[in-house]
Amino acid sequence: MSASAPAARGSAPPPTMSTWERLKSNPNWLGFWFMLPAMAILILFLAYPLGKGIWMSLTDIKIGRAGKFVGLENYEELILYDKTFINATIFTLVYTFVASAVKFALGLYLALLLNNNMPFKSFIRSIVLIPFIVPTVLSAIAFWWIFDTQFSIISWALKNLGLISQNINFLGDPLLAQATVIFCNIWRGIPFIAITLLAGLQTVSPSLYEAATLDGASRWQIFKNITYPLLTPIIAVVMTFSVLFTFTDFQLIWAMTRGGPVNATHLMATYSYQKGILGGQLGEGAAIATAMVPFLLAAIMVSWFGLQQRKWQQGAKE
Amino acid sequence: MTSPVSPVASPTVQQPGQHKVTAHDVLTLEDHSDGMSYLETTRARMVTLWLPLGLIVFVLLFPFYWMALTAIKPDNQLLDFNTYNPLWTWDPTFKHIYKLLFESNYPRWLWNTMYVAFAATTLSLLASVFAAYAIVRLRFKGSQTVGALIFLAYLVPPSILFIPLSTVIVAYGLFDSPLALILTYPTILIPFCTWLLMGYFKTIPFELEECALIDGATRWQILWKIILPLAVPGLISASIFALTLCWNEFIYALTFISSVPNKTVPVAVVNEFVDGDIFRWGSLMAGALVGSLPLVVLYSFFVEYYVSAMTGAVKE
Repeated sequence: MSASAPAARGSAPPPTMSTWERLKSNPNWLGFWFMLPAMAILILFLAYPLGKGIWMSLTDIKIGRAGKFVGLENYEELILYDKTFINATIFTLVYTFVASAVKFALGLYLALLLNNNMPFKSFIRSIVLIPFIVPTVLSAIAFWWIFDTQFSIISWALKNLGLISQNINFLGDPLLAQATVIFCNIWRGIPFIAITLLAGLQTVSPSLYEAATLDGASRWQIFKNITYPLLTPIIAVVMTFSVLFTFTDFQLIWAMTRGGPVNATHLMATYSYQKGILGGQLGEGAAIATAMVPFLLAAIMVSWFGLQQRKWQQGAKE
Repeated sequence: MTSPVSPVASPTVQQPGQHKVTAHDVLTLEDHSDGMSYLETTRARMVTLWLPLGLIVFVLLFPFYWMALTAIKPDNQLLDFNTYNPLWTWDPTFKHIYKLLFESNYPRWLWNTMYVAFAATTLSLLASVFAAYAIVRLRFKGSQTVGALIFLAYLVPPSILFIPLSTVIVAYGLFDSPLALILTYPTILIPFCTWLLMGYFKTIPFELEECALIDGATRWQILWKIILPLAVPGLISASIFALTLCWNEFIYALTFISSVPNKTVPVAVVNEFVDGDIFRWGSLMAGALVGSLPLVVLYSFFVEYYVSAMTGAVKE
């Protein structure tokens, strides 16, 4: 924005115009005024904190105490001596990868199912989105209850079916707890992916399917050679968002396990909250948050360019 | 290819071999989805369509059934799965919901949530309308760059911002006030709303604006009298979606608000309901249920706008 101001001053206005007139009619100045509210909020509460976070990660600031510059000490501390940080990082990567892959597969499958012609179609499509509408924390609490150690309805159902003899300790056992929170993330993410991909599916012209069927293509061939290639642009965008939000997830974990048992389900975001806000070590907390940035950039690059590239290849083939 | 008349004019990207689809189509497409389904027998459809679909929908909705059921179960049936069938109750009680609404801070939290959500949405929408109009139609120097920057802001997640932002909030003297949330939520909402509205504004013919300019209208008048009335569906989509995002927001509300009466519903349910009581599940589920219902009701009235907001923001 600031670039437009000197540019506007540089262009000589007609001499008859007053300064006020010029401010009102010059597109660059008008643009500046129109952008002002949005830019002010984004600079004050987004860009500035983003920069400040990186600076804080290089200091030993604590709650109630100004910090002094310590260089990379926070990062050293985390990487060399903090096992929980390493485990949280590994779990965040596993969480993101597994949840995104399953969400994509099931979301695409659900989108293909919903794309069929069937009775109550719009009703079914509407209710599928409900998990996305309900606040994550509130559904996470319902899951907390569903996966309760003593009174889990799932344990009860499996016991009644004769499949298990003891309650499953869903959120008490580290590995099971990790699987459980991944399941809940998948549950919450599928509707968004399914509905956006469904919108993408409906842009595919049915005449292509008719032509392929006449040529004797199988269902799988139709999907592989028509549906999927035409969907790739939208898949790229949807998955970029999905990976981004899964990687930085906080609320689901905080509502269900708060990082426990024995720190097994800490994501980088929850660990950074625990260290920075609850533990008061703002500097270290900021370092954990900043450590997420390279992973995020890498994830965005992979899902964005990886999928975009296929689009180019197909473009080149045509 | 004619699509059904839709009240929601959704922005879409058109490519060769594809046709325009609106949010209405996404929900109620009648004519051109899977035009060859008649080739399948009823039994095959049972296995390939209804069975997997039923299973997925069951898994997606069961938590809400369980939430609602727990909220209205009497205490003695809450944990006793052997004497009573846990999947149904014949003695529903509104005790938990009553306690929630009349003997706790819950109405206050609900009010806080709504107040913050409405204020943040209004603020974001105003800022976004101006920004989107400027980027799409004023074509000032650097408008492309600003558009790209706003998209990048979309990709900055709150979980990497909350620690530095908390020090900023304290420095501005906003800590523990609803204003902290009203001013920080727009950082999530403005990028989204601007991006969505840019798509809508692009679909409004330029000629309309040129006519008005020739007639001597100012940009301000054009925006209020021509662009905005035509972009009403877009404004509805953006605002209800923004409202939902605010309602759902957790990490900022958890970090910036400390006193109990100032909390929002998601934070309060997580922090204030968790005592040692073994029967707490009834009131917890009631809290979750009552906190979700307003959004579900809103959603049921504006399904198409939601879908249009979701797909519109992704497609650009």
